[in-house]
Amino acid sequence: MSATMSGARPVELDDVQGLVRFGYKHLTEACFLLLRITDAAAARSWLAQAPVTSAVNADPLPQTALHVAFTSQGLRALEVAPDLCAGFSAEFVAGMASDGARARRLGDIGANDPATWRWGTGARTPHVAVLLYAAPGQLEAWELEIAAKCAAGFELIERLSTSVTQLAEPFGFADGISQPKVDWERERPLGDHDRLDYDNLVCLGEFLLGYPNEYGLYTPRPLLAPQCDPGRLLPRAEDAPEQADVGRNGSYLVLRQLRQDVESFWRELDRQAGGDQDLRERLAAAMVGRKKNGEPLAAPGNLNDFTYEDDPRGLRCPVGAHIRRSNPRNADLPPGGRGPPLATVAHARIRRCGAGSRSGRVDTLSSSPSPRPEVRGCRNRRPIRRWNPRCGRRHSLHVPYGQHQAPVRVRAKRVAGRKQVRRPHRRTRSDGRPPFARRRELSDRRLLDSRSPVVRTAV
Amino acid sequence: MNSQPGMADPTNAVLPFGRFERLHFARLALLDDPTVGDIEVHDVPRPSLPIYLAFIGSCDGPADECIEDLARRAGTGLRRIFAYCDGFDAPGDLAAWMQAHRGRIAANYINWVGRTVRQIKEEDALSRALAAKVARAPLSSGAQAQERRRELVDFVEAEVSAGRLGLTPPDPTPLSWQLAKLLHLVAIPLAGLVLMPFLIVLSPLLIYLLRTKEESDPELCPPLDRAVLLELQHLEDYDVSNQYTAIGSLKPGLFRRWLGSGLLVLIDYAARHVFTHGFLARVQTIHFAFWAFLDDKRRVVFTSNYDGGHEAYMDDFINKAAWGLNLAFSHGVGWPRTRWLIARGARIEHKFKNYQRRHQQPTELWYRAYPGLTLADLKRNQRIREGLEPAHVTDAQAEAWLRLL
Repeated sequence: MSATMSGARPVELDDVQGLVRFGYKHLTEACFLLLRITDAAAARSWLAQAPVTSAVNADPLPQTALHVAFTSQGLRALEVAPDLCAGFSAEFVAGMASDGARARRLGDIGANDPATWRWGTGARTPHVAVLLYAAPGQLEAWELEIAAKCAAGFELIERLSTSVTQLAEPFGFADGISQPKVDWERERPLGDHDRLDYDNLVCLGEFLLGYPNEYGLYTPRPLLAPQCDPGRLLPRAEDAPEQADVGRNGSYLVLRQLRQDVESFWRELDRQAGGDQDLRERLAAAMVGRKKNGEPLAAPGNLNDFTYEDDPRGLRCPVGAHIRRSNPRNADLPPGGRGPPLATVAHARIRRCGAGSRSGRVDTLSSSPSPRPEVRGCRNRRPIRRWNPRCGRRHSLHVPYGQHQAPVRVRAKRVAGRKQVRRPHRRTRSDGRPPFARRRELSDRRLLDSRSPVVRTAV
Repeated sequence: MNSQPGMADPTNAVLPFGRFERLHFARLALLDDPTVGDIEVHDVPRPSLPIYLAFIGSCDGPADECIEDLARRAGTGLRRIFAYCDGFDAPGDLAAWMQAHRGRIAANYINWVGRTVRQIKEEDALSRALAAKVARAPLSSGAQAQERRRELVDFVEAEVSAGRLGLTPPDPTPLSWQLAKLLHLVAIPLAGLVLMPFLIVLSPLLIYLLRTKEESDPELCPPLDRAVLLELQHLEDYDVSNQYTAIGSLKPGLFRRWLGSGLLVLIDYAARHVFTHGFLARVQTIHFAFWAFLDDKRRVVFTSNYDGGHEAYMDDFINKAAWGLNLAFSHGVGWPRTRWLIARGARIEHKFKNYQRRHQQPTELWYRAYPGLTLADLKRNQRIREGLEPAHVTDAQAEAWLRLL
């Protein structure tokens, strides 16, 4: 179990959606179409020939890209066998607005209750998300072309457009600094052993279904008896060679539309700082853990190669700071080094893969003890997250607006089309005017949600 | 009795938990084990075992006193509850009936031995008062830190003498308790020493038995039905802490019975003498936990009170103390396959998670004396109080103390 996997099956890059591997920095325009299926047969026939961009290196770089993701409702609408759907993670099957307990875990309560969402519940639950990317000036044509082709089987319920803001997220902080490095070559030693050092290389199985994860395990996904796939359209499972692996090369995509209340963020900081510009910037940096230019407070001058080891009390970078919470690196140990930072490894694992293949990731991120400031004893409990009414104190600066999980995936050949995949939170802006448009008028700046460069956020 | 699903109202009329100032946590759960039939995988017929109503509490001081107190001050409500139990003697002596039906704890873990409810509440009030009082301006020198601390110490003294804050000194630990602890500390290793020669002689056989059983014992970890899972989740995440109650059958045969009991004795020993101040192995988020045998050691019930969400609690254990889970629980029917007693098992994430959810029982009513406070809060508050005591501190200590606020 702990041998290196140099002899492992290579990754079928042509069966992986390109978005898992590439950030499309050159494709600066993008929009996401949230669709409902109106005619299953027509939908299937479009999906079967949809020009999904694969993860194979292309030369020259593509001028457009297209990715497809399904919700579990979408799978049902496509008449995928129910037992096959049920083989995916329970969170995916249930959907993000599934029940009150999940809403409590995710903080989707009170003003953020799913009932208030723009989309993602009831008849406004998308079946399919089509993600379009294009080089400057080419999105419109690309979108028209795709929209025309899929008009027969789908109905558009929401179009999320995006905008680029110089790699800074809407509060004005440099974004996309700390990124996981995915082990595409399958070189990382496999097996169930603890790793003490913090680094960015992460097992493929944390992103793609059908590959071993950081525990050295294959996560559950639907597997089919060979007679269900006589034409061998599907790859065989590595951990069950006789069975067809429906999940392999797919991943889960989480799509949540959030509103960042930029104005109130800076207004509150101005109030706290009493008009002192310098103090205001320092307070903001303390909340995030990085200065606006991305420089981490824990290690000035060192963008990403640092840990919190010599700042256990959070004197330089507060323990509740956004980047420290989201990625503790290896600092959740009691001072004095009593044993290895296993939790950190696990947390790194979680964080790096917002949309990895293990179940419950979103929920875990919201509730695991190490990142949860109340569990770590912070008084100021969620400095930069949404309000958590359970704590009874309001520190709301990041309010989910309309959202939805589109853990995606599915399969494909049988259904049609290809696999899909995707990474976590790419922030999107709704094209439906009201709140955003109004806000834009109110504030001249980068209020609007950016397209964050590649993976998540700068943690 | 509940104010929210599963969350007891401390002032409810039936059992006003809030009035019992020594009670940390309490719960009522119906132990209606849906996994009784699991043992059939070992070709043992499904036994007929009772459904229990468990009333479980964690209190300061001797449990006997707590039971007396409950029977005295909440007798009517308790009688109403226990009236649903077989053989409950309604007009009889309630405390005696409770004592007679009291289960024996096989292993007991307490996060911080000696920290009382009263201390927790007083220290919380203290910490809130000080946090509201302390000046937030940056410190210019160590002397200023000293001065600021001095002011706060005076403030606390004034508040205490005005009766607005209480800082009751801890009760001395009873001598009998200390003696019992000492005896336990020595007796278990002595017993181990006595048994050692036998174990050594038998070790080839024991190892053979262990390994063959580990290789052949069937696993039983199917995912839980969604409706049942929702029912459990419906009772979670209303506070910063949550509860867990689980029940399961021991694998048949003397080997597992003895090994399981022996290991629980060791776990109890470790919890009593080693893990007494904040850590259970490396896990820091458990307030109280215990294991108890039921039905002549055919079943085990486990309960805990922990900070954070359920999924995170389980992840924490998998990552930091899977070996401990394996030691404690791998004798249960269907546990994910272990290797050499500590490896694998709970490390097989999805099987373990399915297993623990499948054995979980809804905790219909759960009370906690200090909602909103996590163990990290309790520890910080404790340090704040301790920092008040010394008459002289260094500049650095004064600064570190102020930082706690």
